[in-house]
Amino acid sequence: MQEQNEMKLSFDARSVNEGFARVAVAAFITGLNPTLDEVADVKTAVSEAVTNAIIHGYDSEEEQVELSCRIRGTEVEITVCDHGKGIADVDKAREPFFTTRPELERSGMGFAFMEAFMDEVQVESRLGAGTRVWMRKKIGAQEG
Amino acid sequence: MSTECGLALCTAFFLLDGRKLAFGEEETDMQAQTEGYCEWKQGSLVVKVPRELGHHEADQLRQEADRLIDSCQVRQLVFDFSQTEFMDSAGIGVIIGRCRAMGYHGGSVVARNLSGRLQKIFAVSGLHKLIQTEPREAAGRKKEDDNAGAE
Repeated sequence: MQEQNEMKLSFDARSVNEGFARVAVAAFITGLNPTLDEVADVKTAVSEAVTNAIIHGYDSEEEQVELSCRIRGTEVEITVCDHGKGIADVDKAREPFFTTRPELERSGMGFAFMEAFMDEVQVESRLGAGTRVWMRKKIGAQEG
Repeated sequence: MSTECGLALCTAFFLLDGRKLAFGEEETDMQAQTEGYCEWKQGSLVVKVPRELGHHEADQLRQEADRLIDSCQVRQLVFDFSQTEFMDSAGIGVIIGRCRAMGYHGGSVVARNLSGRLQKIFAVSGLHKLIQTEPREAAGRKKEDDNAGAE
């Protein structure tokens, strides 16, 4: 199967849009006939990346979070971008339980969840310029 | 004895005035109307976790649970996940935070009615080692019970 499909969304950095983002991606990938568990995996990873952009990337709700999703064959690639503060130390940020905002009672497990539920996660970030999270998952890998 | 009285008093307030959970003076009617995640059941504080528990949904649930944990002597806190279809790491943060709050009061925490998906989330986060968990009842069994009730 060599199907290709792509979509892009841009939305306000408001927490109410976290639910919108994960449902939009879930709807977009239905053509790949994912299992319920695969849909849940992708929704969780999207929720983590978008929440990070909203909480850590920006101080204002009126800034934009950009989400794109590309289907290539049986793989789905998701990119979540913000043009906010950026991450000082990406390796540190990816460590489980690390959080820069303990006052928000964050579990520090956002990146750990993305890594657990997707096949590959890449993070690029520059201080003052923003952060780009790219994730890939093969759909149908759980079958059989 | 005084603990028992305190708990009974809290329960009585809660039952008598379900519209207004006024334990703190800062409470307003506006807030009270939008709340309703928590209820008392057989001496336990039961938190009915909503259908989705992400960062957006976490704040209100956290505030309501904390107000009750702080003002009443809660001996057991139960998270009831029977309605929950989605949870991410923000939900884990909420549960860990409440475990901490309960620890200060010497109470226990249980997570009930976990779907297969939620058990996976608990396992990935390691939360299943921190608190007691109980899986959701099989759908078939529940259906039989419902039918029995209808007859």
